[in-house]
Amino acid sequence: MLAQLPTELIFSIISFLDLPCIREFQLVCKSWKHFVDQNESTIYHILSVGFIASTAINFSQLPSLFSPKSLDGVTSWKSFCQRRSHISKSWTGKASSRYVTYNGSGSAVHRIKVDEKAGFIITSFRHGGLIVTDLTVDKVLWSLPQSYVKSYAHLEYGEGFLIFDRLGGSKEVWRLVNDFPLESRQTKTLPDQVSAWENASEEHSDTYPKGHFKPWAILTMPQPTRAFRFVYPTLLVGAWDHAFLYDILSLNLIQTITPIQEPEDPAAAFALVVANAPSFDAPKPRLRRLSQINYVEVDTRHVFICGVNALRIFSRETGRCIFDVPSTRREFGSRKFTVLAQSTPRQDAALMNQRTDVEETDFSSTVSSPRVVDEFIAVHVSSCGRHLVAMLASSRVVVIQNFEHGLSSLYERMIQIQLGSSRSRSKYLAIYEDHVAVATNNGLFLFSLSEALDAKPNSNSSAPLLSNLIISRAPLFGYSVYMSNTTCLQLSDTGLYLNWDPEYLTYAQESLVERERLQDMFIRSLNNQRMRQLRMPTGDLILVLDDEEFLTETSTVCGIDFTPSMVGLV
Amino acid sequence: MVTLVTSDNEKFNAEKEVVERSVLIKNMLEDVGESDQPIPLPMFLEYCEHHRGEPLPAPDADTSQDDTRKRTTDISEWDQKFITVDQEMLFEIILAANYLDIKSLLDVGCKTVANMIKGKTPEEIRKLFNIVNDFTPRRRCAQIKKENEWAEDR
Repeated sequence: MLAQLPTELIFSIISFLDLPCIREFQLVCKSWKHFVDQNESTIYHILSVGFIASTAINFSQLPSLFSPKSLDGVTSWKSFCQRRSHISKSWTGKASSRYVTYNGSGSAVHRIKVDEKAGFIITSFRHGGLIVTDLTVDKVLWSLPQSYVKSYAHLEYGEGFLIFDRLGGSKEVWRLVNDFPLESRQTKTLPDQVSAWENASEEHSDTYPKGHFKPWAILTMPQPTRAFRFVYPTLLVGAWDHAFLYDILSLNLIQTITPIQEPEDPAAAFALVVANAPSFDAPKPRLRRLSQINYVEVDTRHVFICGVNALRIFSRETGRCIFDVPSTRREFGSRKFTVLAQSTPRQDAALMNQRTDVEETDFSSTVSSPRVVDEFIAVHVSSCGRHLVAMLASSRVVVIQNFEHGLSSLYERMIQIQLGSSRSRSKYLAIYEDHVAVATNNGLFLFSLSEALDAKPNSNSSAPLLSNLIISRAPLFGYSVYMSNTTCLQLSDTGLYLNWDPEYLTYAQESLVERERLQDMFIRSLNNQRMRQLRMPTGDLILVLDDEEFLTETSTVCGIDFTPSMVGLV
Repeated sequence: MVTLVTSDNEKFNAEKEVVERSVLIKNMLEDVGESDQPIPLPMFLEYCEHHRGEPLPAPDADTSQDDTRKRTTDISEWDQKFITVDQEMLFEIILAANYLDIKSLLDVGCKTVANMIKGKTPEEIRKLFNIVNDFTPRRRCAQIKKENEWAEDR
C-alpha cells in the first residue's frame, strides 16, 4: 500500500515519525529497508528536525550552529542524528559520559564562563586575575593579571562580550578581538584598560586571536551595585533599590526599574499568594522588603530579582512588579518531589539516575503553618521565556510553569524539588536549554526542565508516591567538604563545568573504597531530611543549615563531558 | 458558485471560497476565469466546507514553513473522524489531497499513517499493511537492529 505513494509523500509521513520509529521501519521488509538506504541523507535530514529548527537548514550550516566538539565525526545527516541522540541521552545518564579536568584554567577559581562554539573557558579567581583557556587542548590563550582584575570578580559573558567587576565598582566591558567592528567608534575606555590590553596582547601574541579580548568600555553605575547579569544585548545591574538596564552595543542606560525593595503597590506585589488564600502570608511590613539581592536575571520582557525575602518579577514594558513569591514558605506549589536512594548506575556514565517520590500538598493546609525563613539564592528563566527555575538556600528548587498565566491555578503550576537534605546549603543553579543543573552541599544534580514540568505521580497506591521524574546525580561531585569550595557551575551544549579539587576527583575515580564512601554519605544525608529550625518569638521558623567551611587552593575547573567517544560511530 | 463534475458525471455545486482550499482548483479557476466551464473532481467538498474560513497556507510556503508544525501528530477531533476510513480510502485521500494540493488535508493523511506506524513492532507493521517478511536469513534482521541501536529510546 505504502509503495503506491510517490517518494515525497513517504518523506512527508516520515517527517511525523521519530528516530526510534525509523529503526522499526527498516526491519519491516527489504523494500522498506532499501527505501531508507536509497534516501538516507534526505530521511535523516528530515529526522534531524528537533536537533535543528527546520529542514531549511542545510548541512553546510551546521558549523555555525554547533561547536566543533559536538560535530566531531559528523559527516552526514545520519551521523549528525547519531551524535545528537547520543549527547541528549548522555545528559540524562542513559549513555556514556566522563569526568574531566581543565587544569589550565588555574587554581582558586571563583567564576567560570564557557563558550563551547568559540572553544574556550574564562575564569576569575579568589586572588584576582582572569584567564582564558582553550577548551580542547587545555592551554592558556589569554589572561589579565591579578594587579588588574580584582579578587572575587564576577564574570558575565555572551556573544563575545566579557563583563567583569572593576576595582571601585564600575564594570569592565571587553569584546572578542575578532568581533570588533571595522569602523571606528566612540570609545568609553580608560588609559589603564588600554595598557592592560596592550600588555596582554604582547604576552599572548603566540595564541592570537583565539580567546583574545579588547576593551569595549567601562560602565559606571549611578549607585553601588550588588549583582549583575548579561543576556545579549542587555546588561542588568541590581543596586539596593534600583535595577539598571544597559544596551551593550550603544552603552546607553536604557531603563531603570525602581523601587524594587518595596514596590509601589504592595497589594499587587503580594497578589500571587494573597489571591489564593487571603489570610496567608499577608504582608507584614518588615518582610515587604526584598532585603539583600542575591541574584538577578533578565530576558527581553522581564527582569527577575532574587532577594533574601522574595523572588520578584518586573515587567520591562511597564516597570511594575507582576509577580512576587515570598521565601517564607514551607511548601511551594502543589507537588513536592524528593530524591530517593534508589538509583540505576551505568558502567560508562558519569551520572547516576535517582528515582524521586512525590507528595501532593494541599494549599489550604499550608495557610496556617508557620513561616519558614529561607532565602532565594538564584533564579533563571527558560529559553522560551515562559517558565522559571528558582533555588532556595535549603537545597530546594522551585519550578514555575507559565508564570505569566495569571494567578488562578498558579499553585498547580508550581512544583518543589528537594535535592537531598534540607540542612545542606545550595551553591549554584545553571540552565542550558532543557538542562537544569543544581550544586548543593548534598551533591550535583541534573534534570530536564520539560520532564520537571511534566512530572507526576507514577501510580496511585499510597502517599508519598513514586514519580516519573528522574534526577541525575554526579556521584563524584558529592563530597560536601569539597562542594563547600564550589562557587560556580556552568553548562554548555556538551559539557558541565564547576570548580572542584582535581586531585580529589582523580583519587575518587581510582578508588573504589572512596566511591563507596561517597555513596554511603549520600544515602546517610537522604535520611537526614528533617528540617532543623529555630523558633522565633514571632512564631516564625528559621532554617538552620549545616555550613562546611573548608577552603583549599586547588579549586580548578572540572566537569563532565557529554560527548561520546567516536568508537562505534558510522 | 462552481460546479464540480466527477468522472462518472455526478455534479456538485460549491462556493468558490470553499473549493479554493485546493491550490489546484484555485489555479484552474484563475486560468479559466469566471466561466461556467465545469471542473471535474470528487469527495473533498465535505472537508473544505468544514474548514472554510481557516487561513490558507501562503502560496510560496516552502519546507521551512512545514517544520513549524513541529512534528506534532495531534489531529483535531473532526479531522480524526473524517479520516477514520479503511486503508485503501486513506491512501486515496492522501493521493487526492496531494493532487489537489490541499496542504492541511495531506498533513492529516500523513499524520494518520505515521500514527499507525508509531510505537509498533516490525511484525505489527507488517500485519497492518499486509507485508511479507522477506528478510533472509534472520541474521540480516539482527544486523539491522544492531546498526540502529543508537536510535533506540532507552
